[in-house]
This record gives sequence, C-alpha cells and structure tokens, in this order.
Amino acid sequence: MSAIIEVKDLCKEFSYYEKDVGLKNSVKNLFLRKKLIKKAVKPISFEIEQGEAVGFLGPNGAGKTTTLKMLSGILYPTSGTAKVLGYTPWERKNEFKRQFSIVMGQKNQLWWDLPANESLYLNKCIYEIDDKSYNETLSTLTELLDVKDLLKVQVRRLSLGERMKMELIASLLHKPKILFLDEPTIGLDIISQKKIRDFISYYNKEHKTTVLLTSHYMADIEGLCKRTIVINHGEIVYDGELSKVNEVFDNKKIIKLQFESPVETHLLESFGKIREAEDLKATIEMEKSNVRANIMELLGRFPVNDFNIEDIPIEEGIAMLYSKGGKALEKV
Amino acid sequence: MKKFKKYIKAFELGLQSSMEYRANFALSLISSIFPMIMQIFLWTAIFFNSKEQEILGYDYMQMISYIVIASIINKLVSTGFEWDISEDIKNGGLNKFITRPVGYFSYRIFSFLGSKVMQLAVVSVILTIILTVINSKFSLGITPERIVLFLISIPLALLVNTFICIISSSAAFWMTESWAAFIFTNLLVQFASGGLFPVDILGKGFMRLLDFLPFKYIVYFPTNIINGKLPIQEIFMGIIMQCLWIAIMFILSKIFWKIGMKKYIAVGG
Amino acid sequence: MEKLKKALKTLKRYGFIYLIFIKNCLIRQMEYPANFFLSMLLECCFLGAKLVYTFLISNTNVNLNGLPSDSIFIFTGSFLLMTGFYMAFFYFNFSNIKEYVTDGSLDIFITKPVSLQFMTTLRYVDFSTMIPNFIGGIIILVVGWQKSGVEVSFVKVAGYIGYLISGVVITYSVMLAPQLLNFIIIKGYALGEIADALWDSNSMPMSIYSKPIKIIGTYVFPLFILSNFSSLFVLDKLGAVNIIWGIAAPVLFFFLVRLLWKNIIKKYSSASS
Repeated sequence: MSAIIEVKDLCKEFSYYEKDVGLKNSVKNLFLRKKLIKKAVKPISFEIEQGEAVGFLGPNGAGKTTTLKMLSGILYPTSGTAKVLGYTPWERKNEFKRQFSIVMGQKNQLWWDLPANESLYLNKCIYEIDDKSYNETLSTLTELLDVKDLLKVQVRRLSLGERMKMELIASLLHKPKILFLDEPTIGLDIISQKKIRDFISYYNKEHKTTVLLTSHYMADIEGLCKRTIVINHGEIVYDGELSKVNEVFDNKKIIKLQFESPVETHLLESFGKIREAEDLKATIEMEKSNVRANIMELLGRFPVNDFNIEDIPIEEGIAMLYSKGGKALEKV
Repeated sequence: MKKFKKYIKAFELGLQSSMEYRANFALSLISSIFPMIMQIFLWTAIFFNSKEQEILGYDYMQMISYIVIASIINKLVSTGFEWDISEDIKNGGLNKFITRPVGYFSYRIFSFLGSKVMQLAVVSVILTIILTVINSKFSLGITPERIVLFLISIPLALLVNTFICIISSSAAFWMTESWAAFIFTNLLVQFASGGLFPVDILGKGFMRLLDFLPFKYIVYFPTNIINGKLPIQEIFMGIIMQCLWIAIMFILSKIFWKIGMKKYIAVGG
Repeated sequence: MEKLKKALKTLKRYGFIYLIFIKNCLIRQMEYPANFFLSMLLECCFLGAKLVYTFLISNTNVNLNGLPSDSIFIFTGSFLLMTGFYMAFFYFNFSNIKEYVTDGSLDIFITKPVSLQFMTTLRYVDFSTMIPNFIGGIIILVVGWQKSGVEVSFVKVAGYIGYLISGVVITYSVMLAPQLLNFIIIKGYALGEIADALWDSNSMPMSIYSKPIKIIGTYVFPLFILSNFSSLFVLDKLGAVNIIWGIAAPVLFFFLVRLLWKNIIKKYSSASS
C-alpha cells in the first residue's frame, strides 16, 4: 500500500538581511545590505502510512513548522517533492484542501468576537458539508470534548483550553483524512493538555485519521504517537519508535541539589556524573533506575535542603542522538 | 550628564528605526504631495475660469504659494506618536517606565525627535529650494528678518503640535476607543491648522473662533510669515502667542497625564 | 452546459458564504455599540469637512474648466457614494492584508477550499462608515441633480447606476494594487497613506486637472473613472470613447489585479518564514 504522505528530498531555504548594532551600521544599511541564506529544512525524506500518528519532535527553530507548512501547501519548497493524499500540496487544489486540516497552536481560525457556532457554521459552508453530517459530527465532537454549552459563548470569552477544543472541532467537521497539528498544546494548562491529547488519540484510533503532530513537549508525543521523527537544524536525526527514543533520552535523569552547608564535590562523585558543582549547589546526572536509592542516600548523608529531579533537556538528547551515530534513521 | 545619556540613547534609537524604514519614509513624503497637487489644480482652475483677480481674499500667486509652503510645513511639524503611546498604555508597556528611573515623557519626546531628524533634514532642504524658486518667480518679499522669525516659529509650531498630540494620547487612559480621539484630533488639526488650505477663506466668524485656539499657529501662522502676508509687528505678537500656547498645552498635558497615571496605577497597569 | 451549471453553483455558494460574512460582521459590530457609534460619528465629521469645503468652492460661483459650479454637487455626491462602498466593503480588508501576513492568518486562509482572494479581500463588511457616506452622498447627489436641472429619466438613472457599479469594480482593482505591493515592503504603512491620498483626489471633478494627468488617471491608473464617469454621464458630458471605456475598464483592471494577486501570493509562498 502506498504511503499517504511521501516526502523526498524536501528542502527550504530563506534569505534575509543582516543588521548590526549601532548607528554607523544603520547608515551603512541605507546603502548596502548583506543578504544571508538560512537553511530551514535541509533535504529530508520520509513516508507516512494512513492511520499513523507521527510526532515531529525538535527544539525551536528546528524546521518542524516549516515542514508542516510545506506539507499543507502554505509554503513552496526550494527543492524536492512531496505527495500528500496523492496531491502535491503547494498546487493547492481545492479537492486536496477538502481532505485535510491544519491546526496551529497559536493562531485561531475562529472569529474572535462571535460565538463559536457561527464560525463553525461558516466552515460548514466553506467545506460544503451537508446539514445532516454537520449536525451529527458537531454533536458527537462537542459531546466528546464536553463543550456543548460553550457553543453559544463568544470565542474571546473562552479559556485557552476551551478555545483549542473549538479549534479542533472546527478542523474536524469535514472529516479530514489527515490532521496536521502544529504545537497544539502550547500555552495550555496541564489538564487541558491531557484532555486534548486523549481526544486526538481517540480520534486517530477511531477514524483512522492520519495525524502529524509537531511539538517541543515530549509529553505530547508520548501520549499520542508510536513513531517519532526528530528534527534538528533542518535535518532528520531520528525516525523510529518512540520507545527507542526514550531509551536514549529517558534512562537518565538529572538531580539538582541545594545544600545548607558546603559539601565537597568529590564526595558526590559516586552517585553519578557531576555536571555542575559549587559549595552549596550540585547537579548530578544518573541512571533512572538508580534515582530512588541515590536520593535516599544523598538525603541521609548530606545537608540537603532542596532538590529537583529533571529530565535531560531535548537539545541534549538530540545531541546525544547525533553522537550515537549508528542508531540514526531507524525505521519501524 | 549620565542621567541625560539614556535620553540620548532614546534619540539614537528613534533615528535608527527611522532609517530602517527608509522606503516607508520616502513613500510618506510622496503621499503628502498628492493633496497639495489637487489643491493647486483646483485653485488654478477656479482662478483661470474666473474674471476676478481676488477670490476670498487671496490672489492667484498668494493662494498657490500658500498651498505649497503650507503643505511642506505641515509635514515638518507633523507628529504621530499617539499610537505608540496608546499601545504603551494599553499593553502595559508603561510599566517599564514606572519601574525604571526613566521619565516616560522625556523618553518618548526624545525618541520622537530622533525619528524626526531625518525627515526634518530632507524636508528643510526641499523647503529652501521651493522658497527660493517661489521668491524669484512671485517676489514674496522675503527679508532676512522674516527668515529668522520663520526659523523661530517652526520649532515652536512643532512644540505646540507635540503637546496637542500628548494630550490627545492621554485619551488612552480613559477610552478603549482611543483611536477615535486620535483620528478626531488629527482631523481637527488638519482642518484648523491651515495645512491644506488657508483657513481665513472660511470666513470672519470662523477666524474669530480660531483666534482662541492654538491650531492656526501650527501651519497657518508660520506660512504667512514667510510668504509675506503678515506685517512684522503681528509676527512678533504671533510668536509670543505660540510660546503662550506651548506653555498652556504643556501644563494641560501634565495635568491630564497626572490624572491618567493615577488611574493607570490604580487599575494595576 | 455542464460548465455553466458548475459556474452557477459556485456563484451560489460564494454568494451564500458572502451573506454569512455580512451576518457575522453585523453581529460583531452590534457587539461593540460604542465603537460602532464613535466610528459613525467620526465618519460624519469627515463628511462634514468635505461638505464645508464643497460648499465653499461652489459658492465662489466659478466654472471648473467647463463645469458650472452647481454641478459640483453631483460629483461630490458620487464621490461620497463611492467612498461609502469603498469603506464598507473593501477598505478594512485591504488594510488588514499586511496584518494577515505578519500574524500568520494568511497561512490559515490558504489552506481553506475557498478562493484566497475572496476570503482575504471581502471578509469584513463595515456598516459604521457606510451609513453616513451613503446617506450624505445620496442627499448631495439629489441636490446637485436638481440644481443642475438634469431630468430624471430611466436612461439617466440606469446609466448612472451602471457607471456606479463599474466604479465599484474599478475601486476594488485600483485600491487593492497598492496594498498588494505592501507584501514586498512589509510593515510599510506609507503605501496605505498614498492610496488614501490618491482616493481623496477624487473629491473634486477631474476637469480641474491638466490633460496628461487626466489621461493617466483615466486610462493608465483609472482612479478618476470611479466617481467622474457616473457624474459626467448624467450631465451628458461623457464622450463616446469613454462610454465604452467605462464598461471595458472594470473588466480589464479586474483581471489585471487578479494576475497581480496570484503573483504576489506565489512570492509570499516562496519566501515567508
């Protein structure tokens, strides 16, 4: 079966002007400006099957959103090809547009001052949904997301989480085959984040809708996607099962300690790798499995007055992936 | 002097940002030409087709030279920072200034002047050229003393306009629809300052009204200095009036701002 | 036959969507009554200023290069009606375009299965600026019509309305173009200022301008057509060439602006970040 999304050597470059600090340079700029090229997406290739839920993971500026914009037809690539549902996205054929949806975390498509149901009705007309399907779908979705009473409330009065739910409904009214989500949970509180994730997961399994999700939150991907594509500096660094990525990222934890009185660094060395150490502070990296035992010992032996257990930040994890070399580009 | 340094920096930043948007700047100069051209054609058509030599108190040369000079002066003394100020008030940008040892007024004014410098330089050159041309063609009778008085009246006119703008910006403290106040003030100033046409053609009654308002000192007054219409004694009176209005507007703006700031802080920024 | 049916169906759909735009905008404006009335009041002030000036000029009892001073009112009336159309249906959409670009809304519009140009340029309808200009315009028009002694015949009225419609289409094309060029000069409000300054040059009959300007303004960048042709027709001063041009020009320039639109969007999609 051919993939529903096929990307081959897709590449995007932007040109921009450099601006140096200072008055002198401003005057210089009046006459001569230096043009620079940024490689947002270096040639990337991947395929996605129908019904998959794939996460695009990477730090800010990695190229995730740019890739998504190319797949939804918003941007023309500098080179390379992509086929989504058999169409070339940037040809922007109406039949293509009717079959997918894109939801961008920070941009609304709903009219701000109107109740959500007015914007939803507008979508009904734009996507040419007939009355029966519209009413059924609307009813089901609002039940699932528990926002039935909020339909008549103006969008600007809704909380961020409620707005996001409405955005999702608006994007699913026409039963798209593909759902692109760009940072859908950004800015939301934890409870809303989970609700949205659970909903998307349910929808993906129930309707076999292909979901492509970008995020820089691990939790988004964990709850939803089996497969993750990690992008950094415009390149695919990892493409494979999430659990395997976890192996790289999550088998280590960082413990940050604060002491009441100075503790000599070398006393901490047996607990793990010392990342940072001062008189009253220390940061230690250790295996996940050792955390509990180590903490108990540390608390017992040293004058700890505060501590934090953290994940290794994604950027480091990705750098780690780079150094792992052979494990890159593993496909399921 | 250290205290002054931050205002110099504000000035510099204003200057820099105005240079960034240089295309913008050129275009806005061009856009101010169109109304002037329309007025010139209009009055040319009127005078051309009329048997009268004088219409509404002006002869052809006087009318045309007024229109040209006034348009240029209009550009010279224009403000426009009420939008920036209202943004600061609405979005809490004002907080930066409350919590830091920087006077908001002074900061804004210096920044504004910085962005104005380039415009002033270019427009002044244009004005000088135009004046020389008009003077040779229409012999306006420009004497050195007129030039001096004119050069004095321009920055004064700018200050009058600046303080009117500050007062109008303070509307943002009380109205969410402060844009309405700005546009209304702009319209009022445009109409009453004589920027588009000489306001005395509107009749004696209207002129009496304007005598009690600061607007005519923004464009109408300076223009009539340099085009020879005002006798020297009246010019001196006029300059004194300008200073008077600056003082009045300054005090008014301080008052409005004080009240507005109280409200701002009370609401919590 | 099939194509015609399809075209009609699309027209019907777009018509329906446009009605929803209008409904949504009406609801939205009713939400903010203070804004609505203030905006209307402000527009009345602008109207007042224009009328004061018009009365002043017409009181000089002078002839504007072939036009008796009474007929000025017809021109002012037409101009006000056009301003009403422009402000109500196009102005806010056009000036929002650069916002759409900077805040990314344009991206969202691109992904919708409706014409991007339709969505972007016609989405908002504003009633607060429409009403004063329409009412003022019609009153002044009637005053001018009577004062100039023009008869109220079917031909005159139909022709006037026809040229008014042609004026609306020309308005769309000619006022959209400068805003599109804003794409290339992002954050430039100055192009908008030029467009507005150009608009106001229509507040007086075009007879006041010199021949070269009239030619440019009628045939190259047909700004003058929009309020002058309808007025000139009514006064029987619209020459044969212009009668035809008044019908052909809107079609021509609409296609031109559509081409410009497509090109600009192409550029946007290749460049934006």
